[in-house]
Amino acid sequence: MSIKTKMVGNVCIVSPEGQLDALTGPKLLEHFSEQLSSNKNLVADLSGLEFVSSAGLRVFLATVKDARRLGGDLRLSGVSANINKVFTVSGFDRILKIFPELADAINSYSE
Amino acid sequence: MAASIHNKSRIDEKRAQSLHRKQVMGAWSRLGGALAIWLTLLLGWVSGTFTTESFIWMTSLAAGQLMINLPFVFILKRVRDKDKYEYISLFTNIIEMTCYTGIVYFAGGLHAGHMLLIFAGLIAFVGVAAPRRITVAVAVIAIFEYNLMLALEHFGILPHQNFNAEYHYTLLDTQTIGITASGLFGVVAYIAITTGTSLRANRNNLRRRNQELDRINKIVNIANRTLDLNTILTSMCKELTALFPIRYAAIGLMNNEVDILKVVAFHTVDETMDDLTGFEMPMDTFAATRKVVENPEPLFIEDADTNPLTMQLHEHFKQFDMRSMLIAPLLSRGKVIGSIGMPALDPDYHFTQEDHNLIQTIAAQVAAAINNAQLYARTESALGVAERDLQIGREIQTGFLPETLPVIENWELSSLFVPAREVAGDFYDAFSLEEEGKIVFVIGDVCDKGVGAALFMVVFRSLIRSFCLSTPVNNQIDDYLQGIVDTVNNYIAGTHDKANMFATLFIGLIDTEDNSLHYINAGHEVPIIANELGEIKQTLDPTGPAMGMIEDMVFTVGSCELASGDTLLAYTDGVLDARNSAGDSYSEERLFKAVGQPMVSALSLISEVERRITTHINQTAQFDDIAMIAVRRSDTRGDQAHLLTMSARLEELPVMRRFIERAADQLQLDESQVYALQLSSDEIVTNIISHGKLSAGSELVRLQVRATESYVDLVIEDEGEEFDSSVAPEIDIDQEAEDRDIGGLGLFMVQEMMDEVRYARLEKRVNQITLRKNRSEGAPDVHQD
Repeated sequence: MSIKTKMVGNVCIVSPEGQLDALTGPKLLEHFSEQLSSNKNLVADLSGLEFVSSAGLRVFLATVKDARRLGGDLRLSGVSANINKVFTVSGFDRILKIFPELADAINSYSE
Repeated sequence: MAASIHNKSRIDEKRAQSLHRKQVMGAWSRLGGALAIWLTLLLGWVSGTFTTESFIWMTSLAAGQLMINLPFVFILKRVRDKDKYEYISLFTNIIEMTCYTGIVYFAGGLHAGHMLLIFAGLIAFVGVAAPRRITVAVAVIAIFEYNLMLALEHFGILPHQNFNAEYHYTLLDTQTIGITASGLFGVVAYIAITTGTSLRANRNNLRRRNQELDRINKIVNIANRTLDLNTILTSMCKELTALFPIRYAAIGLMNNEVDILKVVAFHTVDETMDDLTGFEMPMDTFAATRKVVENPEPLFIEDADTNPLTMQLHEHFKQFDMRSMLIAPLLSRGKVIGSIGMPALDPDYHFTQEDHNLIQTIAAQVAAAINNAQLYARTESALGVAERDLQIGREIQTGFLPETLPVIENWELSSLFVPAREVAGDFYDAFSLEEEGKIVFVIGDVCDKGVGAALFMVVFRSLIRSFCLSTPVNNQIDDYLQGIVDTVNNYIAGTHDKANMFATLFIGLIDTEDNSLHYINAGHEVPIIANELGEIKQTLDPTGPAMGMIEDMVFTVGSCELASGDTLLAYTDGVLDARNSAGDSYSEERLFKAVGQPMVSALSLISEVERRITTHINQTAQFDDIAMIAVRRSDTRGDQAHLLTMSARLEELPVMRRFIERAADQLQLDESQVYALQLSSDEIVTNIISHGKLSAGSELVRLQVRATESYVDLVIEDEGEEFDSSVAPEIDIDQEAEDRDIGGLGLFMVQEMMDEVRYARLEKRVNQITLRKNRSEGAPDVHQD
């Protein structure tokens, strides 16, 4: 799994690509932690993810907790139908804000 | 009068050390001075200028002054309290002054005049070691003491200490001496103070410079922190308003045609002011802009509200009472790309040379930041173009792979294609002919890499498929194959002669009526045929050269029979060349070993070979495409099953998921069902790996996919401690983030995604989990019947 990061304004956008499972999860978690040390407003653009397992959910849960503790948040965008099902079945769609488009997720921080 | 010391602060270690050092230096110099005076006095006494009594007094006082220094130097070393330090310092100095005054007094009246200069000089030493207040205090005290002595002498309270015993100080004498002395002391004190002051001023100057450098550093760091140009420039405007006494800083950039200057970043300290971002200043109407472009130097305008250069903005300047303004150009490679406009808060402020220098330094940083941002944008788009090309190449490649493999009774086809980073010319194809019971499959490798090879791959593949489908077989399979290969060979070699492209190729035709395989191997890697026990029956050597090189080459046709349970595996050289980080190729040896295992299906074989290659490569970047196609004859009745045995390692999860996907695709399940199976297998296997406590030597997990018309079963077996994965903890999906626990989520998901979950503990320490997904009605399966 490769991870791309960029800043738009004060929002940090993390785009993981490939498969997010128990093997690659720790790498993403570490990356989120690094970003949180300087930015509290995160957006994860999941349009490049082909697969997400519960290990991935754990990463998002841990990160959203940390981000909110800092007064920020972790918001998601680009979620495919399959991955969205994972979020709804696990109830994570009630915990994390999920947006259809990346731009919506970014703008949600300005409101 | 005494120095007022309000500060109750402590002195830090370094400062205390430096003060003490100065104190010691002062003490030494005063020591030296005192010694010099005393020698003069000695001479005076010897020559009879001074009475012996006077001399004794003077010596005692000089000795006394010397003695003072010693203990106080020691005491001051330990003092950290700023107040105490200054009090003690002052006290020492007062005592010394008293001693000096006494010495001078005993040296006698006017003739002690020359002593005054020495006296004054010694006070100056005080100024060196002591803070300003003490110098003043001591000078004042010295003047006071000296005048007091003269007054006391005048009024007869003190005995005369006069060279000329008859001379009596008049009051006028006293005053004159007093005033002269005061004047001298005053001068010396002044010198001491101003030296101190100018030293202090220098110190302040340096401090200010450091602050400015800090600010510049901050600006440079802003430029490097983000590549969002607007953020950088706005932050820089903020810093500029902090550095200079200006009302606002506006950064304007020139457009490409160099005819309009537009404000892109703005910051003001004046809350009543509107944001000027977006304001445009065309060159032809704004003289100030023209001037800066023509003469790229900071431009200072002191009457911006009336100056013809800023004509259009007079109202703006008048409104905010701004007259003084500095415009600094932004230069990139000698060209003006924009400017920074800064009107001063004080309308009469005159930008100093230092301001000019500083703003030029900053303007250079701003211009550099703009350059970087633009360069980055250009690089990104160039990279984007390159990436897009690769994307096109890959789309060409994968677009020409068959979407589905032909399905025919008693025969199973399975394939694998993993493209390398760089586009190459590997391909495979498989299709049924119109004649019943005949399948053609092809695998090929166009030489070279890049989009060119991909395009030629398209030509080869399309020609072969097209000729295969349009040429009748007429029961002359060998002629049929030979004809097609000849035609394509001649076409490429003749028509595309200049391209010098060729391809290795293996084409096979399966006649299901007599279970025979007819083939031409045009210089391609030898396919392997193994029976269901994994015994290798034969390899199919080349029957001709690679295709497309020269016209009219001879290709012969080979043939063999496939028994039930036989599997043929054809592949490209990317499989053999797959390298690990040590540079070790996967090699034919390992491939033969992989094929030499009992296999239940073609799909299982493909998955197992993929698993071994993936483990071998171990994340190293793949050099060449990997393509494989397997064909298996299987007369057995019963439901199709696929089997994968993997090691209990997280690194094999992706291979496992691909196995599941491949099997689910073969069964033509829909996307969400495929994902559900992948996810469930992932969760179960991850759980086994993390918690399974598999004993050494049995770190294997077996996955089996079984399908009937109505359901698909995924059976996962491991040899670990007894653990029932069908039992998942209750999870409240409505919980808030803070309350959500991490554990148990995976198994919960399995329960939700699968229609049935059953656990069984088999003999020999085997955990068996069966996950069932019901199929939609009427879905086809690979049933052998």
